[in-house]
Amino acid sequence: MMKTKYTAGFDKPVEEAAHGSHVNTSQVIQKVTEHADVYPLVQKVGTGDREAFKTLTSLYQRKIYLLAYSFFRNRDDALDIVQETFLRLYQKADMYKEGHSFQNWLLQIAKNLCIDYYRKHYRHEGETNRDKPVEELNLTSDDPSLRPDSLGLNDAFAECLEKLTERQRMIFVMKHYNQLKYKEIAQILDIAVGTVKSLNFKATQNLKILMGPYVGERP
Amino acid sequence: MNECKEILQELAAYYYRELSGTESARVEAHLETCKDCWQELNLIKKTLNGADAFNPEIAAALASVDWDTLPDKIADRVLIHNEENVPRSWSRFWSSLFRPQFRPVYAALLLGIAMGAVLTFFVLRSPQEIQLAADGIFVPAGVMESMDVEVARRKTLDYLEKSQYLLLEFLQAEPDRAADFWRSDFAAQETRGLLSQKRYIDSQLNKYQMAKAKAICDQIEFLFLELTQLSQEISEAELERVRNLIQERQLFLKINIIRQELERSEV
Repeated sequence: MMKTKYTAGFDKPVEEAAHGSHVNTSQVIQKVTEHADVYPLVQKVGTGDREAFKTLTSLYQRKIYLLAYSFFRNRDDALDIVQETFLRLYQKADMYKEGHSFQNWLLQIAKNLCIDYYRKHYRHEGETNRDKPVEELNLTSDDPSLRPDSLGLNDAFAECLEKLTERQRMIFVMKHYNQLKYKEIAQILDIAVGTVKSLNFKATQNLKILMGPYVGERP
Repeated sequence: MNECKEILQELAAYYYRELSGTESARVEAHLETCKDCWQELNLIKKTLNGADAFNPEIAAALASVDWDTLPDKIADRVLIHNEENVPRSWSRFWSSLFRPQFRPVYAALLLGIAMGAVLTFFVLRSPQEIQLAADGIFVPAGVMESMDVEVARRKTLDYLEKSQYLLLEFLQAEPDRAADFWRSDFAAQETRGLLSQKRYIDSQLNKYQMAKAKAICDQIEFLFLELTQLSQEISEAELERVRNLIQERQLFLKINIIRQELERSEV
């Protein structure tokens, strides 16, 4: 029996349809590549060298801000995280080991700060909902904040993102907005690549359910 | 259906182009034949495109920051703040002490301390050292013995000298007062002292085989015993006889010879 090829409804070839056009943020942020000479700079930062500190800050500040902003959706909090991350860099410069990815090391610091900051300042808001599985949330409630027509799509998405668990949210943000590879996320979070893949899959599934009403699908 | 389950797990990774060539080809082959998985991919695509709606806001947030001046501001806050509030050199000094590259040095130091402790333990346990700890000074056995001989020699010399003086007093006394001399407190006290001193030097003279000195000391002791015990009843004639006997036997001469010998053998 011949298998049917389901391509109807897509005006692009399968691969093109799948790999959606990517975020404009990649055009906005300065793409940071790993510098071979980053280690001497980190060493200089350890001795209090201001120029080295400024160079590293200017290279990685946007990456950290992007991670923090997409996590908190708050400019001031994100800037606090940026400053705090570079303070930690200065304090812990001699703990950075040559040969390791400096960007991942720095993002690991930023990630920890984000989680701590979030638990300290944000946790109480909507805590009860976050503890429930996504399927149990009343997505058709009369809560005005959840009505598809009452929010812009970005606000709606931010609301949905906040309903994910800390870990799923962090991984989704790193993957989707910071455009990090699964391998890099695994290094930053110090977990297996398979776990990252699985958690990102769960995050996507949950977002699919939560975003259903906003993107014209049933939850 | 099992394959659908596996493919579903891979769809997000497929969307993000994180699959290898083989994995990607496998997913695509499945999608061409499975309507459900295809629809699932479509939903994921819609969701993630929805997530892109957040991008303009992020872009605006990024644009709202003056990235050129931020490094300077952060450097001011971080570096100056730390120089003011943290005793930086000390904190860095202490943290540098615990760097991983110093581990072998600490290990060697610990090993050295442990070995030193073990050696000290064994050395302190030896009997000679225990003796030392108990006495407070260390004296070899040979030196102890020669010191003992020297003490015996000096005591004997002292005994002989005192005896000689006492006997000389006796000999030089008037014949009619010789009996009174032995009854006097002076003579009684002196002879008592000499007799008790003789008891000490006896053991030493036997131990170190000083036979000649022992013989003369015995004679003197015997004489003193006789004189002190019999002094109450003894007659003047008998005392005269004792005096003659002392002279006849050349007791003084013998004592002098032994004294000279003892003085020569000084350690």
